[in-house]
Amino acid sequence: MKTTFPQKLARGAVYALLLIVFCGPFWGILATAFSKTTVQPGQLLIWPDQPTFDHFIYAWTEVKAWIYLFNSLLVVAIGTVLQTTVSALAAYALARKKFRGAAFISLAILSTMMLPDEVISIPLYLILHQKLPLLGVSIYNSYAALILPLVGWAFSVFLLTEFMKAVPRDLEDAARVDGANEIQIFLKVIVPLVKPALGTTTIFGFLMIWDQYLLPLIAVDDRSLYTIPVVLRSLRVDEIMQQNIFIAVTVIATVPCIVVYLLLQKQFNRGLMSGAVKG
Amino acid sequence: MGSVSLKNVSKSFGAVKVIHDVSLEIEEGEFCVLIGPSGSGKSTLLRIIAGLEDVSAGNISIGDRQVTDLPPKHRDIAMVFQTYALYPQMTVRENMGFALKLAGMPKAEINAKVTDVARMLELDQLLERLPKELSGGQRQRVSMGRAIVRNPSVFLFDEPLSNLDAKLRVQVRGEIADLHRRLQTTSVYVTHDQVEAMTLGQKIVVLKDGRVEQVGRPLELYDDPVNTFVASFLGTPSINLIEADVTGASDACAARLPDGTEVKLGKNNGCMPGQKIFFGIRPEHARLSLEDQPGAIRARIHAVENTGSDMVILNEAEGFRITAAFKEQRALEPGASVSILPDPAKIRIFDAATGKRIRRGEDA
Repeated sequence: MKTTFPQKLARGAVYALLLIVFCGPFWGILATAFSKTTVQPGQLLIWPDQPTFDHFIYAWTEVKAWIYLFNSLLVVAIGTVLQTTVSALAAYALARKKFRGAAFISLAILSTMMLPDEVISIPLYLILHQKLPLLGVSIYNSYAALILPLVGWAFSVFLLTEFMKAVPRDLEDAARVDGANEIQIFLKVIVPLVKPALGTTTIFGFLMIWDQYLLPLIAVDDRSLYTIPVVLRSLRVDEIMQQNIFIAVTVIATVPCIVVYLLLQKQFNRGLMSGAVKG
Repeated sequence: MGSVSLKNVSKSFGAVKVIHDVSLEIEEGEFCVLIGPSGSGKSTLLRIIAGLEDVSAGNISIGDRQVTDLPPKHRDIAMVFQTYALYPQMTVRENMGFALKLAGMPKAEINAKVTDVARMLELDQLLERLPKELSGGQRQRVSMGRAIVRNPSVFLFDEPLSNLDAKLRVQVRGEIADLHRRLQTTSVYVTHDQVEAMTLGQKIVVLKDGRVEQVGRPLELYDDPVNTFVASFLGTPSINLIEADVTGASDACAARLPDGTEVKLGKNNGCMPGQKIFFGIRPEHARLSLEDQPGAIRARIHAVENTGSDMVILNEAEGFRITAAFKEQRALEPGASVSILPDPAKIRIFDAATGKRIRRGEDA
């Protein structure tokens, strides 16, 4: 069907509106972070005024954003790898293995999604303070405390379970007849076939870990272990800190998310789309 | 190569028993077909031989080895699946060489073996393609290639032609038969298609509800079925089974059909006067005539099915239907009155109560 001019115009207007809604705020923080003009809290510049890198240099050297960025990157890198690995293995067991209590375990994992973080914060704080058996030390105030509570995530287990259920059982049987053991079946047959879902869960897992605010607050009290979201919050309430510097740190905090999304974009889109159409 | 031996094999899923005490001997190099309707347990039995299902009771041997408790990889078998089960992310070459790679064979040797088998199956031009870039027939050949390249003792085929169209099915069927002639590897083939069973099998095992109904050579089963199930399962169009009463003296009985026609059963036919039977005659053994014949079944043509090579005539007699089939082309129209004369030597009689074959004195 041929599109008429008013239809094209209406479509263009909708696209423009969506662009403003989604990209406008990001453009605002970029323009403000690179401007010399000081802004008040809650204000953003639409166009850069006297472009400068000063706020970034200050954020990097004086605020020491690099420490928090490093902490965040370390936590998110190890956390995402562990979370994806654990989720994929758990999903494989739930999707492909028959064992007593499988339904109950699925339900138990799923039910953790219904609990808000605030509800589990006190028990989590107490657990993090518990001394580990044999070692006699607690993981409180360490990178482990920032990472380990995030390793099991019901959302990615659930998503991967559904994807793995869709892998034809004959492929698994064929691999078994071909001489593959359980690990080989998992790594060489199942994992390659759920790559799109793994891409999706990796991105969602990355963002979930990157955005953690409550956990670092209760897991560490050493400022040198703070992650970017915690520091952003402390800068936000710091009355003597210039708003532009806070915004520059915000830009720094956003960059890794954009990079990861761009790297995994193809997998992510395929993951979201798969199952939407026949074939 | 190896023989396959099943001794008193049973399998239950929970409280449901799906395989009942099956014993079977498949000779070395033999092509054995397991046939039966859906739910007869043929695929389960094949998966048991493959080691993909555990047995609840019984023993399985391949060659002179007990394999009952061995995993599939230690059974020296290769399997061709109905869905092809090719790994979608691997090329044809990788698919075919996957088992050898897992076995730790050097790359050069894998390549040589894969290339050899690919040449044999005319897949050598497709080795770098992914399964999604192949037609159904090519995929099935890759699936067979993957099995052949391992040079196993036993090939297991699980309805490998079911997903192919009719023309391709005939072609691949021929290729499988040809491969077996060349390789002489023991093969167990599952199908519900009796044409595949009759054309491929050296031995056919008819299964029903997890039980072996009859084992034998194809024509043996066709000509000499042990019960009504085997008789009606093999043969297209299906055998005519007409309820009848046995009349006359015990040494020279006749079968009285529902329309009153009496068909002589000959001497020593194993029947007792008054007995209820199924009178069985295959359509190609029911001679159809437009002229009135003494002692013939009188009927009216209900439908004419002409496939070009065969004519199948469905006839309506009083109280029952009877089908006749023949090769020659004849001008026959629905509604015409016909006489049908069963070939006395080809009549098969079954007990109406048990469905079991009643044999003549000299056959029994």
